[in-house]
Amino acid sequence: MPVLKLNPAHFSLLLIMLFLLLPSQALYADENALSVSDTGGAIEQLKQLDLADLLEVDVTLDDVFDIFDALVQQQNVQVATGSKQSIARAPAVTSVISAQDIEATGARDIDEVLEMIPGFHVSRHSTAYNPIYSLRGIKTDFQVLMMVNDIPIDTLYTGGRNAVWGGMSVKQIARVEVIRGPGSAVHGADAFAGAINIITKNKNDIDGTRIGSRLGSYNMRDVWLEHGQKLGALDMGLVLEYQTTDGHDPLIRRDGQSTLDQELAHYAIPALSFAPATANLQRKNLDMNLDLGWKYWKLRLGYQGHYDTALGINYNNILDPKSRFEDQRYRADLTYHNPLIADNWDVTTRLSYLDMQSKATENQIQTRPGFTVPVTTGQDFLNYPEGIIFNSGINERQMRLDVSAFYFGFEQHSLRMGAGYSYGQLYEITHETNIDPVTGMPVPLAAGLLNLSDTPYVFLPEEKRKSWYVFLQDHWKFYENWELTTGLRYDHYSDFGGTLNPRFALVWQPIPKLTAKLLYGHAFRAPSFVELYNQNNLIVQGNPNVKAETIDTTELALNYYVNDRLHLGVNIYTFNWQDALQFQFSPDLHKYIVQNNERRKGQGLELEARWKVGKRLSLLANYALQRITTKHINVTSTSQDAYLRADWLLMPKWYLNAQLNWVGSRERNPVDAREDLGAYTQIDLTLRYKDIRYNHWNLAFGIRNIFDEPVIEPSTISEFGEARLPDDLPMPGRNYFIELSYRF
Amino acid sequence: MSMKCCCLSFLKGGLLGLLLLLPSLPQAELVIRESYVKAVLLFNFTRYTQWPESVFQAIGSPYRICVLGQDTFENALTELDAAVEGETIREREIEILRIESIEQTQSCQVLFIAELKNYTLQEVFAYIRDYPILSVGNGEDFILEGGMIAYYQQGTKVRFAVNPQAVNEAKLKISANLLQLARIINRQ
Repeated sequence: MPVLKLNPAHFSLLLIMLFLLLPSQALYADENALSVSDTGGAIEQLKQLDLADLLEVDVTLDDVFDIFDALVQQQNVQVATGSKQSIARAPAVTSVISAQDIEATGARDIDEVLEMIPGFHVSRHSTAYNPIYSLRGIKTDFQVLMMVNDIPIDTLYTGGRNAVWGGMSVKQIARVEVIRGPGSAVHGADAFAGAINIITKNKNDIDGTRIGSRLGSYNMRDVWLEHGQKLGALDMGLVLEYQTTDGHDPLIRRDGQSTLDQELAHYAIPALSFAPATANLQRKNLDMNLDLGWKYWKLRLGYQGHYDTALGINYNNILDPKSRFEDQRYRADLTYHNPLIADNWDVTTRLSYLDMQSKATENQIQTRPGFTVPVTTGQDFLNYPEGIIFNSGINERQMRLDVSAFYFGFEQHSLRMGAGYSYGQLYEITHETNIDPVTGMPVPLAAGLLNLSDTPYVFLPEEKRKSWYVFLQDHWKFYENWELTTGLRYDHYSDFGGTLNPRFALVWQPIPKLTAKLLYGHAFRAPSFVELYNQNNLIVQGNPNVKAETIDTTELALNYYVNDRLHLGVNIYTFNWQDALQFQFSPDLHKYIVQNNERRKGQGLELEARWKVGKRLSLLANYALQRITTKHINVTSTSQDAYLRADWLLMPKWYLNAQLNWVGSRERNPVDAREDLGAYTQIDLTLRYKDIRYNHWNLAFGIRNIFDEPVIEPSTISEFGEARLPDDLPMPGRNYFIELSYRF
Repeated sequence: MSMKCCCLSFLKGGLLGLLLLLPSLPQAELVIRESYVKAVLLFNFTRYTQWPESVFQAIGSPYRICVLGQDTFENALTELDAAVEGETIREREIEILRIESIEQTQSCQVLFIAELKNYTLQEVFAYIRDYPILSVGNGEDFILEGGMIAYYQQGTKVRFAVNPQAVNEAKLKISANLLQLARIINRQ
């Protein structure tokens, strides 16, 4: 259901309109006029204004180079404890990326943004090229909590993001805060390897009205509108963004069907695979975010729609050019935050709602028509003349009530406490197929698809989960230059019971320039509904008796401010990951069943540097090394990545950003016979025209992967140790974009 | 992997023309600089804050607004001068003082801390902690490091944030009117 259709001609028209709409005097605005002005007169005028009006005066910024100060100095986070703190002293290892960073690097999707974070790498699933967020060497994707405005958006269904994620556009983002490390003592479930909090723009983050468009390779088109306005006492911020792309058409030489074709060739069974062919990764995204603020109240409404999303490669690792998915997410929260509610009290109350709906809009062909499998070796064959069709729909809702408060009344302590309740359910699971669930035999399509929804044969029952929590956190300045943060959170789940997650952080600042932190945290990941309840599957089955995975992490972090222009950070960590959930073969059931039977240990190192070299150049670099040992099979794998970013002011108003992303070689699972996948280096350039004084026009030209490096992400192996996509997953080669926006 | 033809032709047609138009011509409008608004705000912070009477050495002692470090005010102290010119607060005159060392802060009521060369922020805060001095600086980090009032930029507007605890700890009182307009940052 494409609600919006924009063809190239419309885009061009939009840009031309954009140009025509430009108020003519904007072209003649000039910064030279600065030197003229009558200081005394201007100030006299300003003094006549009342204070509220004074804050609304449009000013000419004094320092053109402010942008570089911001890159190096303004580094604070809220995600570590719920209260704003400088990154150096926050009792966790954190990173922050602002809208300014996103603009400078030309990032278009949250995945590109997260790649800037030390130890964070976004690799790919074969299915729909869904992103896998791996942090600190933990590469299974469900161990990173993702939040929008402090509210989790992970699904109950998979425990990660939606089954067909479809991306998240970035114009709505004011900042992204990331905890690298455990965060369950503050954020609860799934803040395991880390937690990502995406903070959306409000009226104050949006300066008037801006419209813009971006055109790029792979028929990528993007239009957006940002609008911030005061309506009486009401602050309104609105962001709309619509993106479409045909996808980068990665060439898949062999897919899951190719392997089978090869085996069946002996029996003169015709090959079915599309490979070699390109995978269709087209998608259309619509993002809307409305932020209303009134006194201490805030109402935020968000919508994310993905239409016409192609799978490209399906769950069986078979090229699938025709399948289409539609996915919609609705977010709403009503928040009351009063930082001055009473002497020494700062209170926040929030009611939130999240609804996620995804469904197949075209038949999901699991295997192509004519699909044949041997039943007994070389003797009998089972034939599916119309292929195997499996259409699924997943609808899920989550409601939460959270209350938290800070108390500052004690001399050396500040306390934070809170409690909350959440209710989540899969409210509509649909399941259509052309396979008889009893006999396993195909049913002719002419008879229509079998609807197994709400029957015992459905792939997942419509389960629900209730949970509540309480937490207490104490921040104690117990001695000069020493601070201790202690936190304890208890969560109780209706389906797998209770979990207690403590954390300790000792922060020592022996000299103002140096901060040392010793951190310990316990965190958990809640089993997903797939892990608990997956059923009627020939190969894998959920297990309602599993419990949460846990992790204990100990970290040592140092921040050294050499001077105002150069900041260095280093940290080392070690973790012990217990009760890891894994599919294990059960000889009784002849299936793989989920069990808490794995233990992993990991260690790592992260280095960071931010350097404002001069008024025209700033550099940022980070490097991460991580090692993880899986006890069960006694295998250790090591991975590394590095990121380097430079921002230059080439000449007044022209900025050049270069970023280099190096990903070290990817070791294969020992049962995977393939050679390790080599390292790659991707370099991107973004040239931007921006007048920060008036900030009307903003023009950018970008090249991604400038040297056309073959960037390849590893494909995974099946339960049987086969690489169904033996040639891995190619990522985009050199590609371009041009972007233009105008602020009224 | 090249851009599709529609983008290219559009590029040649429209955008190059646009680029040529971007350099601009002068206009003659009264320009309000960031520092003007900051100067007027600084005066207002002084006006809307109450100090313990004991800080003034004599009945007629003035309010002292001190500026430490290099800043836009450095070359243009005239802005601050203009902002306080002819003004009195509770019958006291206002004096603008540019200082070089933290020892000189003792006699200040308001300390604007600009880009510091010889000190770190923490050193300054450690020194002034024992005096009832209203500290004002730039950027949210200023508050997170221990400052009381910080200017921050929002698009082309100058705004300010306040940490009420820090103000209270220094035995100062900021009027509710001022707090209402501020972003409150509670620091742990």
